[in-house]
Amino acid sequence: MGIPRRRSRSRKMPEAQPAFQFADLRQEHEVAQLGMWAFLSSEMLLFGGLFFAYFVYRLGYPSGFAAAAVHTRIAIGAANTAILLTSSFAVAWATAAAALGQSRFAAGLLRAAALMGLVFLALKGLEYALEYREHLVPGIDFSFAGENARGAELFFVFYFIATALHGVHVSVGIAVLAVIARQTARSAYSGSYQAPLRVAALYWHFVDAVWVVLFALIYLPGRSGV
Amino acid sequence: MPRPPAALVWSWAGLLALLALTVGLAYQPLGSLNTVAALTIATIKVLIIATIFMELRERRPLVLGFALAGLLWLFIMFWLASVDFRSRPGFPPPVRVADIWQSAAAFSTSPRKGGEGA
Repeated sequence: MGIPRRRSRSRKMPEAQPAFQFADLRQEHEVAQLGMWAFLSSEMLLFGGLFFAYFVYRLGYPSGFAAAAVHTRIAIGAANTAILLTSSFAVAWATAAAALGQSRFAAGLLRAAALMGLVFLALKGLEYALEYREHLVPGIDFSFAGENARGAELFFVFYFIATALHGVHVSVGIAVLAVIARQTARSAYSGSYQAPLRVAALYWHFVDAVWVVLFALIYLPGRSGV
Repeated sequence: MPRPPAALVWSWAGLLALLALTVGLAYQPLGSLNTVAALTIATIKVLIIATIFMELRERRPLVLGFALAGLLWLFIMFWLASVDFRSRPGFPPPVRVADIWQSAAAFSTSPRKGGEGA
């Protein structure tokens, strides 16, 4: 572990320096990655607990879950999946562009990704409104005809808790992307120092991956009518 | 206009194609294979996101270990918790909401055992 050496290369652009506890920027980057993955692992367990509850009750009420799932809006769900996947692509491209020194372009991509996140939330809100009108919100206004009512209510309890928790993560991600986009536009991450940008990108990709699983659990069951 | 790296474009196109595939398959009457197909495709999509977008393929084993630690603990949680649910005699319990209210009422009116200020 050496003491960080101060290198002065260019007068115009101050070279990024590692925080004092790191030997070099490479080590700082690696530590940031490790820390973020440790956090994301805890997030996996948070959402994993919800997924487990889902599977338990789906095994208990297979027909109730199928009957409830067909009441979700698959068009909105699929559009939202495409939007999040595209925003993830934009963030991944932004990190690549920033590494090449294309700071303004990278910032634009990050802003576009944040905007896509807002569109996602808007569509989600529209979906919630439609479900409220169809009396599908447990605890507030829920009525479901037939013998599947109990299983269907459990499905919608999962649906609202899981999508709301995911929505909170999307909101945090939008705020993070907006801040990182501003810093990127000022060429903060154009050189070898990219740890905050790459860590923020990891978070956004994780939120995207969680939605991919949620989409399969919420929108797809029961569609074949069997 | 800068061009995106080819790996990212292919991943993005692949993810959207898988999305179309999984929606299409959901409407085919495959029986229990519907769920298998949906979860398999979701897993493939998550793997593409993790390896290429999240750059796990470029990371050292230590970072991979941190990422896999989450999966390991998730597996342990699923495993232990499912042992509980699979070993219960009747799951889900045949409970009606009316029965819950009835038993709650019976509980609140029944005399408590043990000295409470007696």
